[in-house]
Amino acid sequence: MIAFAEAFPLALVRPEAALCVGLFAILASDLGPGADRRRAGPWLGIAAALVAFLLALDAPSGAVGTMLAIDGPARLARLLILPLVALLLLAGAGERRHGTDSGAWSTAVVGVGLGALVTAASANFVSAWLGLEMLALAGYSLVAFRGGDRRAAEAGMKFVLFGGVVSGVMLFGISHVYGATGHLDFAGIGQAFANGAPTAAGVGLLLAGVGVAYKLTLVPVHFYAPDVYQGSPPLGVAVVSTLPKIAAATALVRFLSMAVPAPLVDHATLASAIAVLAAASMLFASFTALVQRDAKRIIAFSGIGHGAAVVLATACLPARDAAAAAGFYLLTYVGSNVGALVCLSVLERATGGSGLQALAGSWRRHPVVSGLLCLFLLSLAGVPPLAGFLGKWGVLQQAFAAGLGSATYATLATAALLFLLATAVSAWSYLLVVRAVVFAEPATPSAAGGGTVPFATKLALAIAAVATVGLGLWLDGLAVLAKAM
Amino acid sequence: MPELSPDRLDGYLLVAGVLFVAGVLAVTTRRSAIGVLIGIELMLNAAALQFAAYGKFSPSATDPQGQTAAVFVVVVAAAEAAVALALLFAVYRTFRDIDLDATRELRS
Repeated sequence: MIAFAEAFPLALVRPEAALCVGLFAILASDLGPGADRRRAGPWLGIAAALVAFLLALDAPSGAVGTMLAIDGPARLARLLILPLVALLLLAGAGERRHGTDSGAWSTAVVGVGLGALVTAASANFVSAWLGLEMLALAGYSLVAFRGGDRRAAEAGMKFVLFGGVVSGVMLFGISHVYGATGHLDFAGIGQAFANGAPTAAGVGLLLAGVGVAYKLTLVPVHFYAPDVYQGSPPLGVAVVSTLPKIAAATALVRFLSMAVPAPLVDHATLASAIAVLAAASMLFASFTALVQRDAKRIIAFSGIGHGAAVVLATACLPARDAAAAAGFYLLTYVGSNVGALVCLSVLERATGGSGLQALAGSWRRHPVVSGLLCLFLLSLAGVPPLAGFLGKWGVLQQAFAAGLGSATYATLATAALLFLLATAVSAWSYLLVVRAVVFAEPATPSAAGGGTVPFATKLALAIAAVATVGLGLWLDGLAVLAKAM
Repeated sequence: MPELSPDRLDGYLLVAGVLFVAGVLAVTTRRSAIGVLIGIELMLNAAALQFAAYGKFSPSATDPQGQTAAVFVVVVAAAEAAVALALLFAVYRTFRDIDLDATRELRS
């Protein structure tokens, strides 16, 4: 009989435990009478996320059985996920039009965060799948949070049905991997592949990869994103476009570093396949975004492209700093993306929609918020000196270094060139939004003054703006992350 | 046709495969959201059955991973169904329909 403390070393997962306590505190506060007490939800969640962040700052490394591995990528992911959860809750506390300052909303946001932490630390297909389900189930409700809204309901239904199908496919693949190798943990699977595993295991891995690709919105399983994002409240998009990407990318990094199906597929072929997938996603997203007429759809295609850039960085593994480049890219992406979506939330409240026509002339109603939206979009486009530029720079550096080094990895260099092309094309789609917001004539010229912006929203926007500008000026940020891994 | 018996792995795999294919067919052909949901449940349960079967017939007879994975799948499938049904309710309340072709407003 193993002692509980030995089987489950709580000291390793203190941040996760702190966030769990926060989750239950929000649920308990929601039971109390009175609307004021129910407003405590976001603040309890923010407090829990910040405590968890402090605990994660100086966390020990180790393994929780074969289920979780608290290693470099996992600790980096925590430092990304926990402040992001706090920022998302803060934005929810401000933008309370649809009850996003309630306990229900905060519970779901913290639930997505918890699922992201579990997935990011998973070293086993069961914990990876459970983490992905945790963040998916909470995310479904966030997307459909607007009660009585047709589009939100449709977005939620599409999200849950597509997500369920992908989850079933992934699980069926995992069961084949287990059957063929006798293992569910990444290390054991890697060992089994090194000893020559049957082809069924490779097919199983491919099916399991569909689930990860779905969270990273890679082509061809990206198709849900535009419709789901368009129907969702902007803050729901801010949650489901960022946290799942961090989680899935970290799990992918761990899997690729622990279990390359070596005899079945050699490393160069695997890296090339991943790079081709990433390049196809980028090109598809950047060109399709050009014909969109809704800011949230443009954000969706932007998310497809950014997810693909992270995947391109993981294709450069096991190169030194490739994981750090992916982490830094995600850091720059989430700051600008969440900022842009909070701006859209404010503008949507003022104009009644996120279509480019509805947003026309928002500049006159909300000059500061519109200006910040342009800043965030330019960062997503990769304009220096904003954060997005440095993120892209790091990934390009990795891909060119890996691709030009040897002829077998030449696909990586080609993918990096296509990444440059896709970046240039996608910049145009962001400029479409900027043009509508700044230069277009408003549809209803009389409506001046869009109401006040709540303090919590202002604070969230300020944090996102500081991150967007600050990260862009933090030239050795990538090197610092690489050293910390 | 090989003889199927409870002592052989391939019988379980055959049933799981049939369940999974039935689930995929339901997901791809049904126009009703409830039909799609039933298909998803079939796929998840096919995977659960396969986990349990592989666990029972694993080389080390005491390997608990397959059985535990199957229990996890059952629990998550129930949670997934609860969330999905709640969302389908929301769709029905606003559209008065849960046909996937009738509930389409989001497009580029």
